[in-house]
Amino acid sequence: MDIISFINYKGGVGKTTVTANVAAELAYRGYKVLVVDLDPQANLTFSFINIDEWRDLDRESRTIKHWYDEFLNDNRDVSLNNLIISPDKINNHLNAMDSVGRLDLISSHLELINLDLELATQYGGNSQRTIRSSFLRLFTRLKRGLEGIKEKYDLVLIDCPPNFNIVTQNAIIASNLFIVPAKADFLSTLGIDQLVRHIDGLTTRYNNYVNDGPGEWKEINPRLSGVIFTMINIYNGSPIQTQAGYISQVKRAGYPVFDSYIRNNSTLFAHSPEDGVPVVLDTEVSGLYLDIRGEIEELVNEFILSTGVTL
Amino acid sequence: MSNSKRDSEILIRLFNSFVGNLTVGQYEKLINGHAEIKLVEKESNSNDDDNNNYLNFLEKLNSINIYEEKAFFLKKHFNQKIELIQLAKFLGVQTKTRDTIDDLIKKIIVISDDLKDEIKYKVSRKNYQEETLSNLYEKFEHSMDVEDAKIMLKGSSIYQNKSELLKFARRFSVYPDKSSSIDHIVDLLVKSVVEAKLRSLKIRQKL
Repeated sequence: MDIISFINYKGGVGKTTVTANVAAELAYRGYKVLVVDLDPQANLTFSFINIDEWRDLDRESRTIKHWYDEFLNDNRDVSLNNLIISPDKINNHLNAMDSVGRLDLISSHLELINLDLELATQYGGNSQRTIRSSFLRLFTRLKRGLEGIKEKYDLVLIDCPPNFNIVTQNAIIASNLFIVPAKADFLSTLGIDQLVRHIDGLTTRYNNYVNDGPGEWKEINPRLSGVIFTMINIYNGSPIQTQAGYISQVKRAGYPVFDSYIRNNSTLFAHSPEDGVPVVLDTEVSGLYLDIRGEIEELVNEFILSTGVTL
Repeated sequence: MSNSKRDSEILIRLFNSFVGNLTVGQYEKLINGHAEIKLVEKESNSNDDDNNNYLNFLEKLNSINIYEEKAFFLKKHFNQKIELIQLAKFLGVQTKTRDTIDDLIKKIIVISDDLKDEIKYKVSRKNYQEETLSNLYEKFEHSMDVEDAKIMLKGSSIYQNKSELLKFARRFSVYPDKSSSIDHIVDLLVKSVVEAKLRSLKIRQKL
């Protein structure tokens, strides 16, 4: 089972749109996909379920925040199984399209934003051994949780929050691959460098702890599968010159970059989360919108090649 | 009169092909005023490409010694009269409407032979320029020093030719304003290609 994080420090770059559409298209193609929403804004969650459904999950303590709470409150390692739901709208839509795939969700929580300070209290100690032990235990929390459900899915896609706090680092340590959705502008290109630097740093730090003592711990090597450019403005069938320039800069910096991109279209992407079915599975589109859907399908073809995910 | 007839034929063909490529929905939208036709001119280097293709072809043609074989070679590659007329124009050959394909072939072979040395020179100069440009592209792309990169561009032949410099910039997806000065274009190229790469490596602590 591949675990792939979608991550960028910058907010509003279309991270959730990419995650939701890639997940939906893969499910349509027969993959059993689990999406995990780690962003306190819960945008991915609300792309698949409505507020009442989410409130029910909150009451039943079935969000990722409650799962971390179990660890903080009672030091309990509970299974992620109880958090998983199969959102009706998307899965009914998949069934209606005769797909054998499935899209499941672990929901986020709006209060996840306060969790990091509490998690930080779990890290530390008065000796190198206790620091190592607390680090490995805390930072592999999600990794170990996902290992417990690996038989059920072909792949897990994690929508990370726009920061690099402990929850985000949990996601990176759990992932064998990560994808960076990014806008094609100057600050975004800097953001990619900063993000990669921090992920490299985290990997080194983690692997040092792994090799610094006994235990069943294994080294990690999260690999950048590629940068997906989003909010691209098209002129004459190609990204406008300014954006094309920044895309080229990122390629020249040595990063793998997807040839496919998500174009800017406020009308189409604005309402789709409300429908519970991402654009890529919208069967009612025509004209330009059909072209955009085709571009996302092409992006998923590239995603499959780049990540090597298999059924 | 004959030109007017030909123009009408071209126009009808164009209209026929345009309507034929529309879906019923698109056609109805156009008729009902819910859509409009937009003309977008494509930027291309087709003239340069055509000229280079002609030069390469003529060099091959001149390497053939027997007239019949030359004629066969020409016919094989240019089977439409209009194509032969364009090739003739490239060579500066005067053509007449009543010229047959064989007449055009004869004229092209004769003038091409007369211009043999010139064609050979142009092809070798073009190859040399392409090779030099390709080397410059490679060296510039891999440059790790801003000042060296500037000196490299300023010392090259493209520094003397704004159009060539703009073409070179396009290869790096750098699109300066056409009215920019040569020095500004060089600065922009260095900033986008060399400085951007160095900045990325520095942030990632690879440098």
